[in-house]
Amino acid sequence: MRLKHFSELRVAACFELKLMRRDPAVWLVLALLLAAIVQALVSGRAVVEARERAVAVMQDAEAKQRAELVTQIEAIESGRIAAPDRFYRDPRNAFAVSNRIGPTAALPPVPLALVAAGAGEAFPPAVRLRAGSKDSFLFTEEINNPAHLSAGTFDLVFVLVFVLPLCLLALTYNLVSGEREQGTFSLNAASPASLATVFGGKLLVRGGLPVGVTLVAVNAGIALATYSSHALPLVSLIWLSLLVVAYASFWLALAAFVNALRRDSALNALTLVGAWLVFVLLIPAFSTALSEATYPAPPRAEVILASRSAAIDAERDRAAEEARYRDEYGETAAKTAGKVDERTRMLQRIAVQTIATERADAVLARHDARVDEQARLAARLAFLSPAMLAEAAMIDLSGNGRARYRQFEAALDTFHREWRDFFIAERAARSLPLTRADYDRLPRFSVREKAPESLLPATAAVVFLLAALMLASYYVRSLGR
Amino acid sequence: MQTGEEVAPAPTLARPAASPALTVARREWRELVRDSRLRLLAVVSLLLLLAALIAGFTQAQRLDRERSAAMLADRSLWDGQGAKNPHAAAHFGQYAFKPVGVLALADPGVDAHVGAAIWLEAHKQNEAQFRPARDSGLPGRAGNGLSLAFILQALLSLLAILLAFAGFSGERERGTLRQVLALGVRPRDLLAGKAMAISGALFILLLPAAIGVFAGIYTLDLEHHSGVSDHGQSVLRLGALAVAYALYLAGFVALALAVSARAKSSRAALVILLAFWLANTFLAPRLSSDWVRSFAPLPSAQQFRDAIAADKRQLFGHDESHPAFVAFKARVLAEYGVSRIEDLPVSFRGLSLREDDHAGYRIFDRHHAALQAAIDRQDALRALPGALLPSLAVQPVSMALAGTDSRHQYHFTTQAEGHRRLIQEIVSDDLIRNARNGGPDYQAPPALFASIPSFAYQHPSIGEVLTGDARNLAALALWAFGCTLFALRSVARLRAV
Repeated sequence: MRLKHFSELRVAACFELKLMRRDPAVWLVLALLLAAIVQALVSGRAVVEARERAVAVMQDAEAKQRAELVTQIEAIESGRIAAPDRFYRDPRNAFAVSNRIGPTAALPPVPLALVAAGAGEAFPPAVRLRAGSKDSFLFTEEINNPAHLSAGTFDLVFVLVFVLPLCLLALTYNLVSGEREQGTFSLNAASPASLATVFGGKLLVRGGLPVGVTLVAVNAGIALATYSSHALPLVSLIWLSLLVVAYASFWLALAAFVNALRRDSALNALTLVGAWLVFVLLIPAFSTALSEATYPAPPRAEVILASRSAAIDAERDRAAEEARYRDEYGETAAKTAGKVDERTRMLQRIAVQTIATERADAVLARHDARVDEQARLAARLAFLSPAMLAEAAMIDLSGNGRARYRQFEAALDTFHREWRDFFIAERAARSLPLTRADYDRLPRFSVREKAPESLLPATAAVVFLLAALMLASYYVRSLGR
Repeated sequence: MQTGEEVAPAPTLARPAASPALTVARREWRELVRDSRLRLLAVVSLLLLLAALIAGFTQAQRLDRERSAAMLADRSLWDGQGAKNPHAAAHFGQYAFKPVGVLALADPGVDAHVGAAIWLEAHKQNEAQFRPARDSGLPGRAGNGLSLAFILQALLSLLAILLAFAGFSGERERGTLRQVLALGVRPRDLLAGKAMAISGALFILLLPAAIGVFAGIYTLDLEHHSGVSDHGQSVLRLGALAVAYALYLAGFVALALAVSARAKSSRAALVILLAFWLANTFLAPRLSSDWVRSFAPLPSAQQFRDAIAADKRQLFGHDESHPAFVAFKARVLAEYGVSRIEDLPVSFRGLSLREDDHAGYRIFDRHHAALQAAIDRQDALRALPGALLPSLAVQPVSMALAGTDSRHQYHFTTQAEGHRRLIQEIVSDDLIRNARNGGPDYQAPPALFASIPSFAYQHPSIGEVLTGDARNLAALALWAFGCTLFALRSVARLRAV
């Protein structure tokens, strides 16, 4: 029985394929889809490459700066030149050097980074760390034309989430209604196969063609684009392909569902475009507004105010201390005592920087918690629209999401502490100079990414398939009536 | 929205004395009002506009509250400085916060992608920090935020298409077009009447939104914290915004009627217009951005900073062994006719700081102006097809008038830099006049720091904005004019027989 159904389905599909081959509109839709995918691969790759170049320039600048300091300290240690008169130019001064080298901390792109290249641009590709409070380096940004960031990138996520559904709807909006209007529906009804099988075959072809073109183009394109730089990301590609099939199934099932309502083709087209608008534009727009209203972005100025207040408080403490000393020992003694040597000044600077770091860290932790809450709400709201869910899952696969950047920030936090320990706690606070050998022992940045990867792609695929099944079952029941 | 299935009422041209175009407009208006699906669409659009207005209002109010609080807190830190060396105070610096423009509630523009705070410290022109987009829960989310500009650009243009796509083709399918033309109604009157009715419907929808923004200008009163409050300028900007969007939407109405007059069926007209709407609203902005980026790329942040640093190596900063410092010292001593710094009547340290600052200003100006010129070039290239794909022209105009485009950001950073220079000049002058050469470290009284004002941003005048965006406004006018011409030529082909 099952074999018979399959055979009928195959016959229906083959017949539809013959019809579609003669329809220029089908070729036009497929050509446009293919062109969009190729352009998206090119755009995505360009963004990823530009970010990699920006990181390389940063690393180059860091290497040059380090080499200059090494040359200078070698000359000082060998007695060829005298030490600079100002501490901030001295390559032996640990406090100064801790803020001068600026080691590059980068989050390397994953092989599928080009899929959601635009999302990655919300964050800088790398930062150059300083020993000072984190606000001094965490918010330095890459140069971008803000109008481009606002418009977004024509990347694969855009094509798969926005454009693919439109192509699917363009080919399926009149799946049943078109036959009714042409008068060929009754011919199908007269066939020995069930209507569900006949129209199932048609749906399979009309949806299968664009999905097939998409899968081939996306997989081949990514394989080509990542050929030189990465091993073929097979697992990620399988997940991406599954997501595309599941997401496309939802839209195909929706088109079938609307056809099952037995309206005319024009109304079907309008209803489906309306559904696209609601799922792709309106629900995301409302979700954004809702999550921003519920958990507004933290006022980042608080971080700088917290670290700046450390300097003012330290000044006040010093002034109060001097005043007390003056009261106790008289004006002349206070004037002599007020003259601090360079070592004491350095210790004062270190104390201010340490307090500023602690205060900024406390504010940053509070801010991060608020951003995380907003992200959690946004992740929940994503289930309201298949477009949002698909986009979130694809951003996760591309490694350009907030979750991975948070891991990077955690690694930065660890590295910041290591850097401060090396320069400040172990040397500057003990008034120990840096030596040439120390330059070979500088801490290095690394991100230890946690496996397993996000569960979102799998969850999204299951949700889409369930929704597709529900819609399709109504379609099958409707045709059976 | 008229589909082929509907039975249209017979045309009634009851008042021949009135202008034929007005009579047609009245008839079209009655049909629009009678269509329950259009009523639903209108209600949905209105609700969306109001929701966008409320979202914009709340967001602008919150940002203004936060930035005002930050400004006050930073001022209190600045005033909290005790007696100290003026140059040390310049190193501590002030922060400049970009005030929220009241029209940001209509179009938030690029505000999410630019920093809103700049540290004004000695020796350096810093970049703006804290891009709100970075703190968004889901970066790169599908679709755009809910803003009036988004609704006007994306949804109202779609509504214009839905109202007009069957304007002629629907009548042709029902057979009423021939009857109307046979009555002697000129096609151009028919076109004018239909365009008037549809534009009237769009105008009625937009009126509450415009009134909402107008009320927002007077109720929000955002800018009093920065000392800038010019409602007149905001109202003028709102008026210009209304004109820009009127041109944008008028073009869509004319285009939809033109396509409707030429298309074989309403369905064909709808498919063509929807394809154009998609290309204009979603594909063009992204594609043009990507192409422009690869055609005219910007430097990376590190390259930009390295170029400034390379030029700044010619300056002496605090390096007293720098050849430029030695030369400057010789020049100053010669000017005052003395042989030792200690014999100078003014502070040499103050003079050298001022000299170094002035040389630095020229370097910063050159590099920042070149970067902005590169961004402007990208924007101009991006908007080049604006007369054919009007979203590329209306977006920059809308952002510029709302005060949320990259030119306004540059205007803010330039003014902030001006304020930084004011601080430098005041503290250097104080050093020059009061510090003693060879004496103990000079400390200025807190009154000096209290006398230095906080940064107060002045928005550019509407004249500057319109001049800067003249090309895009011309593209919008050309779009509307071209579509009208296309519609006139399209309906001229209509014949009764």
